[in-house]
Amino acid sequence: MAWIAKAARSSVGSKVLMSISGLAMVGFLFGHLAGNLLMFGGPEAINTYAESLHSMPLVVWATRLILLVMIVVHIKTAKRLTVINRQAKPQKYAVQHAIKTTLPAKTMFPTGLFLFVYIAYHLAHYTFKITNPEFDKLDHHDVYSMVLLGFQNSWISLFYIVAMLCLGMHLVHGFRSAFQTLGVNHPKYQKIVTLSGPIVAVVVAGGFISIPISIMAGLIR
Amino acid sequence: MKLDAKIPTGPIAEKWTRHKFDMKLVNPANKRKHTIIVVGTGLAGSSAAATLAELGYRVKAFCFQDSPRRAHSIAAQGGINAAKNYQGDGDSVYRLFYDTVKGGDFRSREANVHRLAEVSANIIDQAVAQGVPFARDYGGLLDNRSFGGAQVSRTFYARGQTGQQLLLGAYSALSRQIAGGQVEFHPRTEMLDLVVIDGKARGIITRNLVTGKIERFAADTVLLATGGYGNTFYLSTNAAGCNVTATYRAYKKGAGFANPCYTQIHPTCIPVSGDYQSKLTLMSESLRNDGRVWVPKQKGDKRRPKDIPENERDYYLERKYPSFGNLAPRDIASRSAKEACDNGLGVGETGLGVYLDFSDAIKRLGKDKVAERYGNLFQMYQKITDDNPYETPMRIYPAVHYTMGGLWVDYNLMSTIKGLHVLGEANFSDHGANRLGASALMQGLSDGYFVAPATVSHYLASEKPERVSLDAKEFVEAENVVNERLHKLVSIGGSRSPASFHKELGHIMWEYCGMARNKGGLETALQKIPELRDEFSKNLKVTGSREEFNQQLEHAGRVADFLEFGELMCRDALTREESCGGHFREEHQTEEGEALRDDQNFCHASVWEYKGDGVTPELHKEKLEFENVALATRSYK
Amino acid sequence: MKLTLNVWRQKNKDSQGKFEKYTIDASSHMSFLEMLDVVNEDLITKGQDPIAFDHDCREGICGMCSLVINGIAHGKESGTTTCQLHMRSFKDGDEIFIEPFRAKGFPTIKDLVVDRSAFDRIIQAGGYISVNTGGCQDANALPVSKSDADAAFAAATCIGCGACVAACKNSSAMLFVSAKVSQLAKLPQGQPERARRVLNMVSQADKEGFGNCTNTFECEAVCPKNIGVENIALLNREYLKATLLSKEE
Ligand SMILES: Cc1cc2nc3c(=O)[nH]c(=O)nc-3n(C[C@H](O)[C@H](O)[C@H](O)COP(=O)(O)OP(=O)(O)OC[C@H]3O[C@@H](n4cnc5c(N)ncnc54)[C@H](O)[C@@H]3O)c2cc1C
Ligand code: HEM
Ligand code: HEM
Ligand code: SF4
Ligand code: F3S
Ligand code: FES
Repeated sequence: MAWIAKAARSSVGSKVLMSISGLAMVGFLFGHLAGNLLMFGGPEAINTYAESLHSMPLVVWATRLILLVMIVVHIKTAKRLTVINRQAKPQKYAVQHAIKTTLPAKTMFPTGLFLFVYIAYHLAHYTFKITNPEFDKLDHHDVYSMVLLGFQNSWISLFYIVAMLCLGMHLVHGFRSAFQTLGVNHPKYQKIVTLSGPIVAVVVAGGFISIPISIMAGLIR
Repeated sequence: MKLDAKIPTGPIAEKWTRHKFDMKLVNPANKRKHTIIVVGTGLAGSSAAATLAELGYRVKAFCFQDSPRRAHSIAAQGGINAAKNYQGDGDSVYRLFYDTVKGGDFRSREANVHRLAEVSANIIDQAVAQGVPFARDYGGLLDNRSFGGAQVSRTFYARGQTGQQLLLGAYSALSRQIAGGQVEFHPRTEMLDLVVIDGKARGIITRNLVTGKIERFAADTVLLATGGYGNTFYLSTNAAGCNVTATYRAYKKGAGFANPCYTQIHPTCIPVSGDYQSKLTLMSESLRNDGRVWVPKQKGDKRRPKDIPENERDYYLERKYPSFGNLAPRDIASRSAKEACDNGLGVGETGLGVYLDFSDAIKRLGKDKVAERYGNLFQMYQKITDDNPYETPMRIYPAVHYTMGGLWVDYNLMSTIKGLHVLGEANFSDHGANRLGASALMQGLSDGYFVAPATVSHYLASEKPERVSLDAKEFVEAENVVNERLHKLVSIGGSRSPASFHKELGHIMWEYCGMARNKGGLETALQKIPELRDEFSKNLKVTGSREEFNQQLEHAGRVADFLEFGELMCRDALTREESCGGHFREEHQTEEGEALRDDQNFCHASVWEYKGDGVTPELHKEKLEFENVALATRSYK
Repeated sequence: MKLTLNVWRQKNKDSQGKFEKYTIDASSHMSFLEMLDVVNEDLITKGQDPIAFDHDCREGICGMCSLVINGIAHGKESGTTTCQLHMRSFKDGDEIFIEPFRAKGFPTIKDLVVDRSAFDRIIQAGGYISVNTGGCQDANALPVSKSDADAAFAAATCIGCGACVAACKNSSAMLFVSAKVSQLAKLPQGQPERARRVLNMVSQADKEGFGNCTNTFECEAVCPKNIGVENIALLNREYLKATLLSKEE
């Protein structure tokens, strides 16, 4: 089985790990987004949804486990690749002039890093309720109120919005890039693949952002 | 110096087959005991080094670029000939042989040319097996185009990058042998002298171009595949690094130099634009398949080409050579262009240019088809001139392109020094006084893949060379000479760059030993070159030292050799009192201005023997016999 | 036209380099390298060390020339090598920065000259078809569809210049590697060694110190032969297939 380790450490193999873990996270986010959008359906909708989820501990824990592995793989590989890549270009050019490289593509590591910080905070915020112990005092698992209370603080909302923009940036490049990494590039479909990055970025980031905005604007009460 | 061509007996079509059988073989276990030096890894060198290594010999290969893939062969555009007759248009080995002998204006050796034609088909098989992506038609089979001097379509091509693809094929074969440890490869290493021990070539002295280190390498036989010397003219279509150093050093060690004056001036190059110019760019001859060459009928016609009506244009090649038209051989097409310009009909700012027009082809085939055939050439032209050939005709002018002359070799590709084999453009072998388009790639690969591996084995089997020591006095002496030369070059301390001397030599050569030559001019050149050499030895400036990466020193060494070699070219041109192929002596022409050969007195290869510095070299002659193709005046009318 | 040049000068691989300023009056018909020739001619007459730069064919095919000109490998004209770049792309008064290709895999030899032998070693790792000379079948015994032959040719036009590495922020050699992998994967002759080839070539590129491809596509933008990143996708596909499905390790 040495071949797996060898492949995983090779440049192409590592990239494949990045893309699979990245795509898995995107997959989770689609589900997460769909669930969160139930905020617009009122307390009933989202709380029932949350309860029905929690009634299937196996599914939840399996998802959590997979997600955890993916995040760890993604971050560890990202770190390794970034180190190798910086070493590969020991000296920068005095004049920098990129023709095709986009800002998101150049800033994958910083945006990723920010996402890491965000996720840590986010978990502390809603999952472990460390930052807001008062959530624990809600009488039942009231996701609706939690989110509502959370985003009524405009600093928190702002932080979330910035993080979502960052996520958008990460995905503009990342989503499309994952397909290239997995070898999907064919003249007949390439237009869609190229567009997929921005589309997914806008849908995901935009979808999430709509929640804090709506709350601050008083659309969700 | 004895010139024994060692042509096998028997009918021409059987010579090579018979010879292959007669030659001795080295048994597999002994092969790995033999070391072979291959200098130059262009088409000829790479293919030879790879094949010899595959056979089991230990090979040491050298080139001055940073990789074998950059040899000048990479630049060949148009294609490679082979007598495959895939088009069923009447081609055959014999026809390719005939065309090449005739194209060479009856100044080549029949037996060699026939072998070349025989082997040509194998080259294509070999290249395809290596993954060379030749052009194909929709049925998936190989496509052909036609080239100058032939009435059949036998040229295989890969868009306008045939040389690149073939070289990358040979390079890949070589890379495989390097990876396997059979070939020890030395890039950025220049051969500066040949070591001859007991009359046999036994090694070379090299300079590592990165560190400046001088090294000795010994072997049982030495192969030179170092390319042509077109850069004697400074401006040519050759790459900047092409040089005569390796072959000229071998000449000074006793190898006869054959027909140095035979240079090919290619008719379709981009005209010179200014005196800073460092090189001339070839526009592949394949363009003449569909492009029509013309000049205005009226002198000094400054109208835009589009505005000159059809009846005021002179399609001079079609007019003068109706059966070959725009596909007349190179020497003829070049001279006709010069003649038109000499008559004041030239176009462009300098008046040194003629039109190559594609408007008919675009009308006939459509722009897409034309783009498919010549797209990259058009693009290249536009990049250099800023003109768009789809809209306005190209302007072209002849330029130095190829050198048919080279070290004399016998049928086994061995020079007059035992054990020194010479391959590719560096030898004089197959093209006579004029090379047909798409034949140099064929010759280089034929020498490298098929001929040299057989004849070198034969040499090793029959000579059984003994091991030599790197401390032999010949090695020590040769190294001393090299060191002294380099020391001298860096210590002159004058004020002129190597390039400035090179340029000046180029002017002299082009003026007096170019497209048309005459006695007076050649004599002037023979006076001017030594003067320039003298100035060189007093006023050269080489910056930097010997012990480092020093491009000025590299160039200075090459220019020093050109400065001596140019003289040999002029001397050869002066003694060849006839016009043949690329060598045109104004004194020898018909009333219509066509070349006038003198088979009575000049049906030979002129082979020069070095006799010492400042001493006139001695001329030897190899008589050329034409038993199969009757000596006739070349006609392309 | 009057130009100011800032040229990277570095005596040898171990020394510290720095920019030197030169001014030159150039003609717009000159090629970029001819312009440097003129600068050098001037330096030599002044007894100074001329600028070292690699070049040979000067017609865009040998891959010897390099240079990063104002931050762009081979200069700003697309599909062009430095030797094919002409001064008409500049205007009077321009200031030009000339730097060597920078990458760990391409150590500097002197001034603007770098060592690209890593590319040769990558080819040696598998960029060939293992056939010996002689004994091959007739060339037409093996038909290849025109579209495959054309695609293989397009990939095969790579000149090994290294601009892709120079331009890539990660100094990744993937465009170069993919061009060869793709050429041979598309031809029937390349099939027997298909899996081995891609595994070995990628592994060699990694050993040479080139970075990873993060799909920033800068390489494709500077490649003088317009080799496209679809080749990198193909390489990734080939690598995955070879890893998961072939018996090669
Ligand atoms: C622009 C152009 C287009 C052409 N197009 C065609 C065409 O379409 N068809 C055709 O048939 N022919 C064509 N030719 C001619 C053909 O390309 C050459 O004749 C042929 O490639 C020469 O191959 P070669 O192997 O003999 O030498 P080269 O390819 O020139 O190789 C010479 C080798 O020797 C090495 N070398 C030289 N001197 C030394 C030294 N002192 N020490 C160490 N190494 C040394 C070099 O590094 C190089 O590796 C063309 C030529 C030019 C210039
Ligand atoms: C947690 C911290 C994160 C870090 C440090 C990080 C870092 C990176 C890095 C360095 C890359 C490679 C750059 C590139 O390919 O251009 C990358 C790619 C990617 N990331 Fe992240 N990222 C993080 C989180 C995320 C998250 C949360 C998602 C998805 C929701 C994600 C999705 C992707 C995708 C899809 C790719 C593309 C993979 C590919 O190109 O093959 N990343 N990330
Ligand atoms: C407005 C945007 C978001 C809201 C309102 C939101 C809300 C929530 C809530 C309420 C929970 C707790 C669920 C529960 O315990 O039942 C949660 C969990 C989580 N969220 Fe978010 N989230 C948002 C955006 C994101 C983003 C962008 C990411 C990833 C980058 C993310 C990643 C996670 C993760 C990993 C969990 C833990 C899942 C688990 O416990 O299984 N969330 N989110
Ligand atoms: S892929 Fe393009 S840029 Fe890279 S080496 Fe090949 S030709 Fe140069
Ligand atoms: S620029 Fe570099 S990141 Fe990949 S797409 Fe090209 S190799
Ligand atoms: S010098 Fe050959 S490609 Fe530029």
